[in-house]
Parts: sequence; structure tokens; C-alpha cells
Amino acid sequence: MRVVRAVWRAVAGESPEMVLVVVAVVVLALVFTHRGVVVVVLPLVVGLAVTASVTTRVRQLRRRSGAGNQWKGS
Amino acid sequence: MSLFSAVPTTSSEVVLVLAVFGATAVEMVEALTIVVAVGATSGWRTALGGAAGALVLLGALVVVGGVPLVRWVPLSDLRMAVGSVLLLLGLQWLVKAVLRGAGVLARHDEDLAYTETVRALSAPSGNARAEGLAVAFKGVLLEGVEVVVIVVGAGAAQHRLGPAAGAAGAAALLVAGAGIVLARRLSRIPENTLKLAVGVMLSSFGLFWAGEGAGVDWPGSEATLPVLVGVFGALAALLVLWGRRAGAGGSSPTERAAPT
Repeated sequence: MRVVRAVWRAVAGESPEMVLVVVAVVVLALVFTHRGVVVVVLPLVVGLAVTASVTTRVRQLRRRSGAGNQWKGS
Repeated sequence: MSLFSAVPTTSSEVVLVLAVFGATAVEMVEALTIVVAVGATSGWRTALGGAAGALVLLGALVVVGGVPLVRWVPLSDLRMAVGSVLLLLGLQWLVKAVLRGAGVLARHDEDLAYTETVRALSAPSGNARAEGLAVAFKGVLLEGVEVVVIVVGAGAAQHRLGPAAGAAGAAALLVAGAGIVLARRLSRIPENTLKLAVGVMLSSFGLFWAGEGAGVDWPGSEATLPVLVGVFGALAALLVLWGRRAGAGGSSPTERAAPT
């Protein structure tokens, strides 16, 4: 179990959600190989994933520092 | 095309060389901080001995891991697997660098890393030389493993281990030279900017190869790579600006500087 956890930590790093993004990209690439739109969809998925990850972390920090509450109250 | 021929000729080879060069430079800055700290406390012979041992082991890993991959694994399977690994690494580097650029995460502080290593090695111990040797060896090895994964993966996916290994070696030499010139002021090297650029390139490269391995027909083939680099680079720049404006950049980062 320890080995599995260590391998997961090494692979997932601090952004475990990115493992799912990579799996999604590979599955989409395999399923929609011959559809032209896949060349737009794949970069879009990656871009959205990066945006979601960054915005979530920034919002978490704002909530933690109380800035979110001030903003809500204003 | 020879496995070890050195000159990059296509856009994907140029991106490969730049990505490997940047990744190695970032990791070697961190490794060099540890080596310089060991040199200042336990002696330069100890520090360089430990670093040289780790570099030999890392070089062996590139040959042992890379050559069989290139020789025996079918190219499409290799590209899909390698592309996935590079995409994962690239996305993690990219997100972390964007958060640091926006001021959400504390930047990796080389001065702090140096001070902590010197303090740890200055504590009285039974065998200071062996301890210094182990710290230098471990520091270079741990920072270098990620570089080996990138060199082997990116080099194998294009059957160009030579340029990839050459770029890594050149970056290691450049950082060592910069370390001598800057003499312990490694914090002057714009590590986060380098990390952001490498994250963009690895993500682009990884997505391109993962798609190519799965059979996706990218328009213009390798001409897509610079486009992906441009798109992801622009997105990263926008996210850094947004993060700063969102107010996170103004407050002091509360999260501890994470190792890369």
C-alpha cells in the first residue's frame, strides 16, 4: 500500500486532477481519431483544465485569507 | 535519421531541444544550490565527488532507459505513452509556475534552500565528509531524475536521444558556469520564468505526441507545435495577469515554497 501511495504521489504531484485530464485527452484522441474537430477539442480540454486548476487555487486562497468574504459583503 | 545525430532540423526538434534545455536548467539551479552549500561546509572535493557520482548514474539511466525504448517499442505506442507522461509533467509545471507568477504560491527560494542546507551540514556529526557526499549525491540525483524522464521520453518519441541528451548536458554546463560567475547568488536566475516556459513547451509537446500516437492527424503536422506553444503561452500569461489582479498577488503567499 505504501508503495502504491508513493508511486501515486510521484505521478500525481501537487495536481492530481491533471492525471484525469491526461487520461481524458488520450481517450478523446483514441475515440475521435478520425474526426477533424479533435485537433481543436484536445487543446481546448487542456486549456480549460489549466484555467480551472489555476482559478480554483486562487479562489481557495482568497477564501482562506478572508478576501472572498469582504468581496461578497461589498 | 540517426538516433544520436546532433543538429535539430524540424520545429518539433527545436521545441524538444528548448524544452529539455529549459527543464535541465531549472532542475540544475536547484541541484547546484545544494552542491554549493555542501562545498562551502564540507569541502569542494566532497561536493563535486557527490555531484559527479549522481551525474554518472543519471547518464547511465538515459542510456539504459532510452536506447531499448527506441529500439523495441513501436513508435506510435511510444509516442502516446511518452506524450501522456510529458503532458502530465508539463501541466504540473505550468500550473505551479502560473500560481507562483501570480503570487499565489511562494516562489522557490534558492537563498533559503542554501541557508537550510548549510545549517543542516554545520550541525556536529560523526562523519561530516560522508554526510556531505550523501547530500550532494542525493540532491543532484533527485533533481536529475525528472530531467532523465524528459530526456528519455522526448528523445525516444522522436528517435533523437542525441539532441535531447546534448541539450541537457549543455544546460547543466551553463548552469554550472552561471553558478561560478554568480557565486552563490543563484536566486538571480529567473527560475520561475524558465519553469513557465518549459511547462508550456512540455504541455504542447506532450499533447502533440499523445495525439499523434493515437492517430490524430494534426493540420500541417509538426507546424502545429509552435501554434500550441503560442496558445498555451498566451493562456499562461493571461492567467498570471488574472491571478495578480484577483488580489492574490498583493497578499504575501502563505503556502510554503514547494520543491519542484
